[in-house]
Amino acid sequence: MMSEFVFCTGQYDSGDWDSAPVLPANIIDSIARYTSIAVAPSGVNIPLGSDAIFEYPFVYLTGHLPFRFSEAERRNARKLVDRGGMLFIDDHNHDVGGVFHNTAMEELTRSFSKPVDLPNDHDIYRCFFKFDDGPPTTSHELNGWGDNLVHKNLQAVMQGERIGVLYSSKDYSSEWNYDPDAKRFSTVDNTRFGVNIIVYALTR
Amino acid sequence: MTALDRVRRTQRVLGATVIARSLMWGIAITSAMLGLSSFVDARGLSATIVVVSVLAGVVVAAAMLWQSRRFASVSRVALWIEEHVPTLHYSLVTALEQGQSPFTAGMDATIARHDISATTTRAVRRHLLPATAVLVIAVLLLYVSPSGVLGRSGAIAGMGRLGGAAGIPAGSRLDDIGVRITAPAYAGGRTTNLDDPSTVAGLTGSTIAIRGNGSADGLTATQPAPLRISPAGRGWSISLTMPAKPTAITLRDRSYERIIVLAPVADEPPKIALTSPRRDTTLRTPRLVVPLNANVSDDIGLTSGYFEYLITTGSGEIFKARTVNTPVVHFDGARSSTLSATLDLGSLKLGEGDVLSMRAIAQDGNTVSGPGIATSDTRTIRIARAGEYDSLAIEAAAPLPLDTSAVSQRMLIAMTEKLVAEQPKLSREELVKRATDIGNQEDGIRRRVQQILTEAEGAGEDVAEPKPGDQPATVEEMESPDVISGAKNPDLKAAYTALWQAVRSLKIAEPSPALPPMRVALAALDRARLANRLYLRGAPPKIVVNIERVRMTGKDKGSSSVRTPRSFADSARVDLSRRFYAMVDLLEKDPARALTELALMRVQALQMIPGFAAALGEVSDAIRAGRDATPALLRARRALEAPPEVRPLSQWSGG
Repeated sequence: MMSEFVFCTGQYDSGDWDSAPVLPANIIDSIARYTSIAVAPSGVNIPLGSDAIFEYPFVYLTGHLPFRFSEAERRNARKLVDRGGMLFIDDHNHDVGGVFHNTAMEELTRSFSKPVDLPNDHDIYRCFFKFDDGPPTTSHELNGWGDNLVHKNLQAVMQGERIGVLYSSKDYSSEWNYDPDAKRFSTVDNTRFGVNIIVYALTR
Repeated sequence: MTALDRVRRTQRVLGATVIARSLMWGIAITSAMLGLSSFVDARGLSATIVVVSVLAGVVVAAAMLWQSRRFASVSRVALWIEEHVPTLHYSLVTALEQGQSPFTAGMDATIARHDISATTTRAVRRHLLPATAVLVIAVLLLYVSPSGVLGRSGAIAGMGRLGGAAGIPAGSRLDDIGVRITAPAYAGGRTTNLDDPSTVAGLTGSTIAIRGNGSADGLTATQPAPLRISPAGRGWSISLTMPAKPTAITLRDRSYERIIVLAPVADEPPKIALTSPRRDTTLRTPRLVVPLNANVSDDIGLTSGYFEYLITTGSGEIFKARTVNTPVVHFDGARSSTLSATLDLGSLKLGEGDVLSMRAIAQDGNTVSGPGIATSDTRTIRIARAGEYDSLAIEAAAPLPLDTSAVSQRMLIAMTEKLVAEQPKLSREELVKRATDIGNQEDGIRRRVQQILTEAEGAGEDVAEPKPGDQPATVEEMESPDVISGAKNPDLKAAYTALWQAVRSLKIAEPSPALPPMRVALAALDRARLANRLYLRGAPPKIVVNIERVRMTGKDKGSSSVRTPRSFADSARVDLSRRFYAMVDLLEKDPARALTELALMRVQALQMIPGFAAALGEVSDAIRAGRDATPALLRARRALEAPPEVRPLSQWSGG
């Protein structure tokens, strides 16, 4: 029997894992709006170090502060990816020289392997909506704060042909962190790429 | 009067009767054939039908004459009289044959007692009455035929043409018309000639001259107001101006009718696109030189263009606005061009919170309904207020190429590294210039850090915020790190010290020694930035998404009444669809009416569904040329009805 998808935000001991509290609801709204995936109406926050994390095939991690896994978190993260799950880590600072980026890169290299640039014609950009130019640009990338750069690629730790860990410097955590009711004021829904990430995580 | 005289007189009467009867039958046959043909094909009588009809009449008349050739002989006429007056007992024939006989006088007396004239008159009446009746019926048939051949002299005209009679065409004067379209002067006044068109397309305001053959008498033209038809040489002409909306000219020549559709082509206003600046942005200081560029194009020709700035100052509900235009650029009728200018924000004396809106404007040379004016998108540059630096919500906006005020410490490090790499190839002057530029920008960061530090120490009033137009400080003017207290923020103090060292090295054109303190400053600024942030940990808000509402499946409890589909909202399209199918039915029964309906539908469709109007034109042309109109009709139907909707199954639907 197929259970409904539950959006899971991973709690980690270091940093501010809850810096984008409205994002899960927004992505849940988009999944309900565009797909026929059975989806739970609210997300859950699960400690990455607990075994409960294995009930969720997709785990979202974000923050501004130094990013370090505890031993239990590192062990569970590896096990989750090995079992076919997917981690999505987004730099809420959108700053490639920032503390979150630097520490997250170190942690991912230590826990998995060094993330590599994900080609912009990867399946994740076509699995539901089509993004011909790769990851959609966020409004926070070029507004004079952060690293002032438009990041051409996402990065990933590959698990065979599949993405095990998806890493973003684009600050989708700021871009999508608004109440879903506000979508009706947008000409183009900027959370569509979030749907692609979920669809990819659930089908590959 | 002798017997011979009586016979000759009868022979003349009978001869005339035979000739008259033959002619009447011949004309009747010709008329009947023309009339019936026009019933079959109301588009008009072709030359072939006219020839065949006339030949048939001639053959019938000749046959009847041949059949009555016996009246050429006197003896045969005498026998005819004997046959109709039996009481003569061959005395007439005998008198003719025995003219020298002594009994001739007696025979003449006997003949004189009989009334041969009355008999001849009865015979003439008997022969001519049926012929006259048939002729009258045939002529009436011709008169009431759809093309009205007789009364409107159509058939006669056809015959006239066959006979090579030049001059006024006796048939329809609406065939073989020519149309000359002269574009308005501003569009170059180009002239186009069309032969026998059903549709006349041209720029609104074009002069249209329609010319035809024959006299102008009796011709009418409406649009729908009556148009004046003037004699022109051996023909007629109508002159009018292309209206702004599609319409039809109805030409009438007796019972002939012809509709010409006028399809105006509107002069499009110019198209203009602002290519620089590409995005809206917000600046911290109004020090920027903005290149303004716009691409302009027009379907006919451009005349002029310029940039317009609107500067809005104020806040709350009190605003002041002033508009400034750049000098007008003349394009002299070019169809595409570019508009360029440079805007120095410093010259506009902008202050905090001011908003500068800019756009490009161009116009064409339309003197008929214009000029067409186009305006580009508006770009906005806003000068931020000092207190909103940490809370600005700015839409995605790329920094302008010269927006140095937003350059970050990281970018300055990159620029310095590049300068160090290129240093061996640079002249001393170039090195000094580039190092000083970087040093000035680094000094801006130093001054901002100094301000934050002094505010934190409670001495903010002693340091002024950098203002637009301020000159960068010299090395001697820079406040020494020794006088800056960092008790409350040691990271910022370390950053200030490093920045001070970096600025000093850069301003004496020594970029290499400047790099280490620049990196130290960056690290210290990062530490200070993070240290100042407070993240209050707590349970994040639990937001429950109403999935049913999002999927629009939650509130519908069903309906007790049967829902019926609503009528097609596009009533004009429905009306056209109904008329289209009625016209298709008419094509078989009444082609002339169908053609008229086609033209009227085109007028209605030209503005609503141009594709449908074009397809109707093809139908009309095909019918007039005698080609198969089925493909054109199919195209028209496809254009009229919405294309089939393709709905692929969602991969989530299980399909």
